[in-house]
Amino acid sequence: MKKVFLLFVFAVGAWFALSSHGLAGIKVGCVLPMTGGIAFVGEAMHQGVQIALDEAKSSGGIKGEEVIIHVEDSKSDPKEANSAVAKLLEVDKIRILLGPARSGSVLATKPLVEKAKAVMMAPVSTHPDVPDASKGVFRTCPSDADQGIVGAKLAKELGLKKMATLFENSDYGKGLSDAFTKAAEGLGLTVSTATKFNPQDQDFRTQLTKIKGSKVDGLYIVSTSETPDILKQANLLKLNVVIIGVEGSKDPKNLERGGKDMEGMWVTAPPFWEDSPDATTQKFISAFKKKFAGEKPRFFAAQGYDGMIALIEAMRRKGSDPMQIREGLLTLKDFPGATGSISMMPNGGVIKPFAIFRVENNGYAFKKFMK
Amino acid sequence: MNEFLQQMVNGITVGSVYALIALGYTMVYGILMFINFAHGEIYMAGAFIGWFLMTKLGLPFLPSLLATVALVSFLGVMIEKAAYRPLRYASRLGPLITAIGVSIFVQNLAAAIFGTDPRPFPLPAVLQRNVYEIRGVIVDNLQVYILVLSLTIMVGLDFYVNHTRMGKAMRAAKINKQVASLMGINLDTVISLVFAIGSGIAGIGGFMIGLYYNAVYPTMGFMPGLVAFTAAVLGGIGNIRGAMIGGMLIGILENLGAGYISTGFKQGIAFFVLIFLLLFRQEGILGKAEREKV
Repeated sequence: MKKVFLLFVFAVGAWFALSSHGLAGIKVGCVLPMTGGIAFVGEAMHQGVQIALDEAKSSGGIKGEEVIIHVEDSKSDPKEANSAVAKLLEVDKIRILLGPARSGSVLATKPLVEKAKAVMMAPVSTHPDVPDASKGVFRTCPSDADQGIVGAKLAKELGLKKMATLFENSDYGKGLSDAFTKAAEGLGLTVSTATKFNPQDQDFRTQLTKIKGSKVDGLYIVSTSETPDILKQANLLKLNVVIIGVEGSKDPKNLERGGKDMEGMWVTAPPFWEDSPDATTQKFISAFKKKFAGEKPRFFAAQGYDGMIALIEAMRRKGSDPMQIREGLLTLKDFPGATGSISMMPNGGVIKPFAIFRVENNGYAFKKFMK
Repeated sequence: MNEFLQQMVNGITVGSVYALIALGYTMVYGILMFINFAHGEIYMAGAFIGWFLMTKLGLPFLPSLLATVALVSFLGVMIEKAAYRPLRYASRLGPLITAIGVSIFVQNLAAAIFGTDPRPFPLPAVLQRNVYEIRGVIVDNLQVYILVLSLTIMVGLDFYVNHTRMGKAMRAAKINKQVASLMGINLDTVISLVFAIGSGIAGIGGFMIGLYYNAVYPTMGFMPGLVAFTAAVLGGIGNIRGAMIGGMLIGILENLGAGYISTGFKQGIAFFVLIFLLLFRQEGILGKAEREKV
């Protein structure tokens, strides 16, 4: 009896081993925050990646080979992202990676990627230090350094003079807030108060009370799903300042939860919106709605899609070895993406124009492009 | 001065909810001598059940609140029956680790059922928000309701534990489980009751906070749970009045510390207090120092 049981266990084990490793195709390890604080980002990216894979499949794969993804959970945490990347590299022997999401997670895993001579595409990580082509880390979203400048220019155009910042206490929040502060001060604005919150906080009254006490006329916030809470509490405390947000806050779910509290907020983000005239954006939106039963794609889904199509294009151009992908990515020039065209710079990052949105009638109304 | 008073208002509101959660920690610890780390998840469950009843089934506020208390109490009792009762006479580390496991399980179960996005939990018509400005300090009616509800629950619980037969049984079980059961107290009933009451109270906290912030999500219980645990230690673990004082104090300290030292320290302040207590006053404010018997 015991022998039969052991045999059974062995057979099941072998079946698992074969089914996950035996499939022919090019394996891409996706390290995404599927649980934890920013799980919605991971979920959206995963959806976007699936659209890219479907497209690649229907257009003949990569020289006949199919791209297969293997998802690992980064649990929204740099430490966990590090072990997930280590597992993909060492256990699963996958050296083509997409993700993680948090800038801090990418920075934490960069040494592993470099050591393994792998390639990593980080489609949503905006910290200035993320891209590093020589170490194999690329991205398809613009840098916080650029976004901070755009935010400061917008503040100046809106006639604001004295600003406060409220940012997520992370590499992402700090990087963006620093970039904004530097640019704003360069344009002659003063940034008098810098306040932080921790990802997942719900109460921002402490920070907002402090900001109210400092008598500013504008507030720059770096946040993701906390945005509606911040805006709501700002209204309850009668803050009455112009609020400028960033790409992380541009999410239809925030509008849904924030309702009228979100009205009037300005947002800077790469160009992706529902009725954008861009053909690639529209192609992505309709493919997405078809696959996910009419659901509207979130911004992070479009960014995940862009990361994956860049990887696929690079493989098509130069081959699917990590080193060849690195070369291939560097050849991308005006390659159409769902969040604006991708032109890879030698450092592994991209420069894109930003779009300025204002929340009006419970939607993100596109105002103009800004560089 | 205005800013200071405003920070106090912010702190007292949050603090009263910490106190509600801290009650559950302290009651369970008082009798079973272990920290029920799944307690923050019970609070989250309260928010989700309330949200489900009100926004999905369309029940009015008061029936939803009562049903939430009943369902969350039931959940608490079931968790005790399934996870902790088999380990009642195991070493003290056993239930503690199990509690962490239960916490992870319940949190991920909620994520699997409801998804990870924060869900909007709009205020019902009876609770429409009114904002008052009193000499520059802004208070809204919901903050007042939360405070009044919390204080009522605390006073009610204090009365129940000190002036009823079941309360006496709880206190007896706290002093010595074996002797209490020799005196004819049904230990299983007492422990189930402690879990039911502690969970029900945390459920009310979660429900009110879900409405207050207009958001429910699976990880919402994690930080408040840890902070409330600190509050229970601050007040003197095992002491019900201590948990109330500890909760309020932590809420106020957090807000003043973040407001006047650095906003980046907000989450750290509770844990700084915890470390300070462990070093200098393990028994907390109202607890009694116990000598370790050899």
